Amino acid sequence: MSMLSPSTGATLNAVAPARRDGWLVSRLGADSALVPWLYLAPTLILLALFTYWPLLQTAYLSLVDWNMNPSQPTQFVGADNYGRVFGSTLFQTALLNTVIYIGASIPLKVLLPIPVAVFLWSLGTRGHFYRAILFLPTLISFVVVGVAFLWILNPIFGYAKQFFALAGYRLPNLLADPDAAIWVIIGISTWKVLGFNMLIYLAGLASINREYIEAMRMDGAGDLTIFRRLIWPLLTPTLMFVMISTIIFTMQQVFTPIDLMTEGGPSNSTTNLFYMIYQYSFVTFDVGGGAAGTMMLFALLMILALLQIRLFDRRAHYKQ
Amino acid sequence: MATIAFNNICKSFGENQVVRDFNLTIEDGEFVVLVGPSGCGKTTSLRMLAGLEAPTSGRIALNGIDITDVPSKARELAMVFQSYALYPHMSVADNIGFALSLQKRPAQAIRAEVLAAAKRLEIDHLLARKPRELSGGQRQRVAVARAIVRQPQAFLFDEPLSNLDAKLRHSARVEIRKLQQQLGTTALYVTHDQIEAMTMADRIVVMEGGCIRQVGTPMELYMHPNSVFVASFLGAPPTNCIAGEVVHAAGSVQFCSDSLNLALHPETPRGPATLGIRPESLQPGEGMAAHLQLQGAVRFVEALGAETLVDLSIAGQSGAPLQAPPTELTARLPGHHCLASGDILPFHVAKQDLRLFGSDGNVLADAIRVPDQAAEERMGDGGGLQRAVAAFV
Repeated sequence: MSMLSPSTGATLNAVAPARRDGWLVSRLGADSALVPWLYLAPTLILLALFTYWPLLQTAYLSLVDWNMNPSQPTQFVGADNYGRVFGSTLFQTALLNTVIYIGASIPLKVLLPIPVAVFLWSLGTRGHFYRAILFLPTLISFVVVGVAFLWILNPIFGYAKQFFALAGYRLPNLLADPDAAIWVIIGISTWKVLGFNMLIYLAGLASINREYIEAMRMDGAGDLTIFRRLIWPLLTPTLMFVMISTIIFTMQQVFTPIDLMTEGGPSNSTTNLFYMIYQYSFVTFDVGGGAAGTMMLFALLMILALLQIRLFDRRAHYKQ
Repeated sequence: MATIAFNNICKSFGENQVVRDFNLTIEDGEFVVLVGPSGCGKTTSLRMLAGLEAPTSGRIALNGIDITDVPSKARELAMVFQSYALYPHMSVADNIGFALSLQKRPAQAIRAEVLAAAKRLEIDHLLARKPRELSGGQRQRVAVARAIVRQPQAFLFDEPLSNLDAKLRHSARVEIRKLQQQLGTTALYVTHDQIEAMTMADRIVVMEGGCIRQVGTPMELYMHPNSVFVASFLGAPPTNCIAGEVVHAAGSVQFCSDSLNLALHPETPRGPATLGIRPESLQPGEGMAAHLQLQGAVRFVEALGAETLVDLSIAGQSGAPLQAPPTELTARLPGHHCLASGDILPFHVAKQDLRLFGSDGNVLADAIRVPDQAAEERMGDGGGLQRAVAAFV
């Protein structure tokens, strides 16, 4: 490559920057069609190994009858597993409970942290202490939380019993009550995730220029109008993120307290689809049933994610 | 239309007092500019008027009514922010009409008023766009349109031109001033740019360290600064300040510095002092006998086309031997001058253009003895200046 000097007319050799390609790229040549794939390879290999291969394997297992015994051959049963699981009482209860877990998570885990975050945001640096207190449960392992609440809610020697006694009430055995147990788990998981979601909303609020709020005040807006007409629309991208991640993680997160505190009971009243899959696969060793349940859960999550994107994503104001 | 009065306003953030004893009355329809360096309290004063900050003490009145404790939404003031603060999720039309929509005006009336404001600022073709789709100048116009559509009692401007390039800034300040004159609305404008202050204001308020240093028309402040700070802050290049001392000796009173001596009024108090000379007051040539005569070595020449800025080392008065260290001054000469670094030239300054400031930085009025015009003409050679200028051009 060369260029002509306008002043002297002499030809100068432009010095090309030294390439630092690896030996493989050097051997293939930089223009080879393989080079982009080489850069993508680590991610593609990881995705293939830990996402797409297990998905295909699960799809295959959902079509066979197998009890996880390596010496026993798998028997192809077609869509029987789907029909069997779909028609079972356990699936119907687990699906209903999953809907309850998700339904409750929207007001409690997605919406409730918003006013908390706005309040702490309005406090400025004075809110840091409360922020730390509310975030603390996020740092505690769910196993520890589960065990701690088992002790607290123990109807014989739990702390909660003492408080109830002080007020003149008797603490019911909440975890043994089919109507109450699911709400105990929802409450505990809300307590644990509220601080985390609040922190995400605080990050979203921090990106809002405070001069917008001052300009709205000058325009004659009160606090409620500012929230409705300014903060809420500008917080929609954060809300979208929190909603999708909370719904997906809610189903996974409650697995630990369900397993530790109720084991899906009483009368399957706390089982969700995740725990049902675990019960099929690793309690009764019905691998086909577990895989069929997994595929149905996968389809459900896909539909939910698509619905969320179609319904809410268009209304999110991403750019400020 | 409104009169605004700040009465003994003080503002502290913790232990840090940012505004002290701020007293100012702005008349109806007046355009007042608060100017000063960063951190002098000008924006805080504006925000207190807007109701975005509460004064620590003192009262603010609008049309004679105390509004100190009135929330900003009820003050009927419109503000243009430094960042413009246009609502990013709303279109230009919604931004302009937002305040009207809060007043529950009919949609058709809002549309008509938004369109009228947009046409006035020539942004009616941008009404459907979002702020992110606008240039800096267009955003600034939308912010002004949002302010005028409300027909407020007063406009508050918080450095609205600081994000614009120099060319756009010039046209924008002309437009803002023209608009304010057409509407006749009282305006308080904050800037750190003394050119904006000089060109836009009916009155300028110069602030330093939370205090008002001087209030007056642009020309009053320029011609008669009451302190070294005001003299050096207004004007570009700034006033040349020569540090020295007022000395009482052998029955005479003189200002003495390393590079010059100047006879002063006999009642001038002794002590450290600063002599202020505007760059345009330094005239080439020897001038009249009564003028302050200086000899300067050219250090650097900045040819700006219409004028030439010359950095000089003044090493002594004409005829006196050169002494070290030299005093550095800037002279502003009209037109183009072929000067080279190292040229040694005579300069003179009419004594009425000299300002002497005391050790506290305040002007020492009547310290400079100005000879009467007739005596000056008798003593001096009237054609000397013209000849000297001709020699340089």
